[in-house]
Amino acid sequence: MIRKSIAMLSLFALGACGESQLAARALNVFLDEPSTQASGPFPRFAPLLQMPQPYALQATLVRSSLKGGFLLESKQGSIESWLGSDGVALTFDRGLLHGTRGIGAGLLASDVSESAALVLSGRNGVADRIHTRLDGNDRAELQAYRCTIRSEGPATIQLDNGPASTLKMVETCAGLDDSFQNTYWVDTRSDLIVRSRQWTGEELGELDVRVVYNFR
Amino acid sequence: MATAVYPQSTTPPLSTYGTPGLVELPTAQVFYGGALAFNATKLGSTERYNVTFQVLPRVYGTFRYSYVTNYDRSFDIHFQLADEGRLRPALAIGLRDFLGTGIFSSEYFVATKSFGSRVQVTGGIGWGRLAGRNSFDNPLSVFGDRFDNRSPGFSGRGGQLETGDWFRGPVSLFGGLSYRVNDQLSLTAEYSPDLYAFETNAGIADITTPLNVGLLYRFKNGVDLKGFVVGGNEIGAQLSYVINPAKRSIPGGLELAPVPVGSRARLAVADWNNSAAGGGVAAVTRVLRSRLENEGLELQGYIPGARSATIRIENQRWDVEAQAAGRAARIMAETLPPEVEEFRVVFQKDGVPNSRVVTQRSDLEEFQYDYDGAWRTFARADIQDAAGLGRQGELQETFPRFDYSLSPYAAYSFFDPDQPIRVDVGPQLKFSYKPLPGLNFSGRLRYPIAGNIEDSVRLSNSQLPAVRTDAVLYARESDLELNTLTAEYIWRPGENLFARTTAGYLENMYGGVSAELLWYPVNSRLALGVEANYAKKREYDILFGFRDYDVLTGHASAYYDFGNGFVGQVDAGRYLAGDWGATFSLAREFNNGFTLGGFFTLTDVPFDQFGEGSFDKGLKFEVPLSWFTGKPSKTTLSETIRPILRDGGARLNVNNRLFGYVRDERGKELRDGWGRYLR
Repeated sequence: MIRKSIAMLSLFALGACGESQLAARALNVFLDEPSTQASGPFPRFAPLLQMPQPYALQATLVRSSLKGGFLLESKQGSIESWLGSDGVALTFDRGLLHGTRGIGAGLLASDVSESAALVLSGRNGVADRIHTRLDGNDRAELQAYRCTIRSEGPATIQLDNGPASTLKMVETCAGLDDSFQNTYWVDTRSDLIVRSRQWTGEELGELDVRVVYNFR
Repeated sequence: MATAVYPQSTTPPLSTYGTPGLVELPTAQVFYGGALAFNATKLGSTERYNVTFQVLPRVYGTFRYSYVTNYDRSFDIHFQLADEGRLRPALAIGLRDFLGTGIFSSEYFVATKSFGSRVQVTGGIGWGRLAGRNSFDNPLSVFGDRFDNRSPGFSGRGGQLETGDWFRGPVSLFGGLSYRVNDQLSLTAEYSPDLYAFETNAGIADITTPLNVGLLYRFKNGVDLKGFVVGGNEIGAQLSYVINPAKRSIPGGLELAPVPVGSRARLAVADWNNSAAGGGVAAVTRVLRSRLENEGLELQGYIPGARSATIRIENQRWDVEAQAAGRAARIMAETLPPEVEEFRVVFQKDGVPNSRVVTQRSDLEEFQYDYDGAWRTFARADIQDAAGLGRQGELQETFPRFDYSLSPYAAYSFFDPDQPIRVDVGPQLKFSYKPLPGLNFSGRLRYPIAGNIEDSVRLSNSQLPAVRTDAVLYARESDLELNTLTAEYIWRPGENLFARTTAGYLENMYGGVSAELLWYPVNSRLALGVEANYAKKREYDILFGFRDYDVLTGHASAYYDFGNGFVGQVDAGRYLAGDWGATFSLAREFNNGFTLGGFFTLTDVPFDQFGEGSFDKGLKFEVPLSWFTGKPSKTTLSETIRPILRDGGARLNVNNRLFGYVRDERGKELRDGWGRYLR
């Protein structure tokens, strides 16, 4: 459990100077370590907040209930890179989790295009998905999954600006080593995934992501 | 295999010798490849501290530090001949304490078989210490009478391969079983022929039965706690923990997010990087510099070009150089004008170029989100030697540089028979002045505030010149110590060549002059080097004076990366005591930087003249700090452990020996870390 709590501390840092951070600082002094990460919000984050952004994302790690806010930093084709206030990042392909940076999970990148197409069109079907993970020995490891996607019909969910009518889509994936289930709520007016629960991998488990409109 | 009680993917229970076993006896099992097991055992009044490393999938080795009537070191080795099949048991052969003074010295042949998912049965035949009770004639005697007898007691100075006694003398049978109650709890019972003759004679053991029993509890975090009774009366307990060096504690890492590569069109409208309208090269340099600094990369030079641009950087943060290369390239992509297509990232230290990673901007754009981006970018990247760059593009502010730091330090001394670990701690002041690329005037002052190294009463009894065995005198007679004070120059004499000269107070015991040349083709597995030194012994007060011993010492070295995680090194030449010989090193290096290695040195000093241990040998480990914390860092925790430090086969300690200084930034290492290039 120690491993995970270390991961959590940095993820979505809450600004608290806990005992373990003090211990880490003491260790750094002893090891003559340069301090790499300045305290306070991540410098690339503030400019994003000044730019017009239609919505932010709130991501919560289900296991630990740790929360963080994310703003869109960059977009290339259908891939979006979202930056967290403390310098971590999540990448999405049309709302489907594509990669993680800095949160401890080793998801380098994915190919989720087939799943995204089905989820956003509201159709049932079968899709292939590929995840590339860092394996702890700095090697990129490909994992392929076969996924079944089905619609569970309309669902009204509560967002920060009121109720939204959505289509609930469930994706069930099985691979050689593990299997998981993701759930997406697709806004029927904007075709945007406004809420989802998605698997990040063994280390951190499920991520709950929702769109937040009133975030400034 | 599915029914094995302890399948190879999990960790088998450990014996009091720190190897897969019952209570005291070995089983034929092994760990998964690369596993590193730590074990501390208290049995009656004796203690054993064991570290076992699964060097190869079928071979493990153990280093043991034990206290019986004295502190002593011993090594074991175990070969698994066959793993467990549906009908066939796992089979193994092993040697305990095959180098040391022989108190645990024994050999065995053992078989282990699982029955169902709970019961595991082990049986074997043992020699030496494992041939006490109900012993009978050695069956190997059919190969000759020499197998009949084993020399009694212990051989004198230890350290030699005691091959003369392996598998000699009478034998006994041993066996036992373990029963796994559930995932947490296991019971063990064994029949051990060990008579504890030495311990009984010393009056510290009371053995009345060959039956030993144990109860193991495995905590959810993987720690094993075991309690046991040996010989009916001796009670003991042990703690064990197995780590997997091939797995960082946080595989994905906790580094800050990289800058995404955006669209070039957006950059075209930003005026600061448009030399026609904005601040020109000076502005681009300023922005590059500050953005690279955010990534822990110091910009030391910038060579702009119409289609191709070069940055010269020193990596101050990333333990994986490929990750630094990826970060640098992305900063270039976010900063340089859109027409620049080729990014050249030169890695250097203190202005001395090492290698160059060339990436096409369009490849970064194409692959930054590709699921196979790491390999695809690698296939299109080019890694070159960067010699001959001189001071081209060097930023004015790069030199001269003055640095200093004040930090605590700890100096260790291991395995003094009176005190296993001795340590001195205090503050140290490091300072350096670097007027030109590669030229470094630096020093280190230490002041031990507390410690017990000087309390050792083990003074030199060496028959050789006391080149290392008088270390205690240095601790005793020094106060404020001038640890090092050197002038060093590192440069590139030609392509794939590195050179170093160092003069001054090189280490706490020697001063002098050192010169080294290394040939290391950028994408080669092989490197060759030569080093020559004139070393003069320093005064015991570790200030400015010298003693009247001096020596010419030096080595020719070959380094080879076998490519399967093993790196070998041979250094042949003359050592500090004037002895001639060679040092052989082999390290198991995990891709993430975790390294465990061993070495030994054979010189023309005869074993009996060398003294205790017979020849110099030791273990070395290196663990990147990031392995524990998940945060990128250049800091590596490393230590060399010698069972005993004598005067034969001793080398001079010089900072920045070239192979270690340049290796991380050569092609093979860059390639190994490429999984993190887009991280």
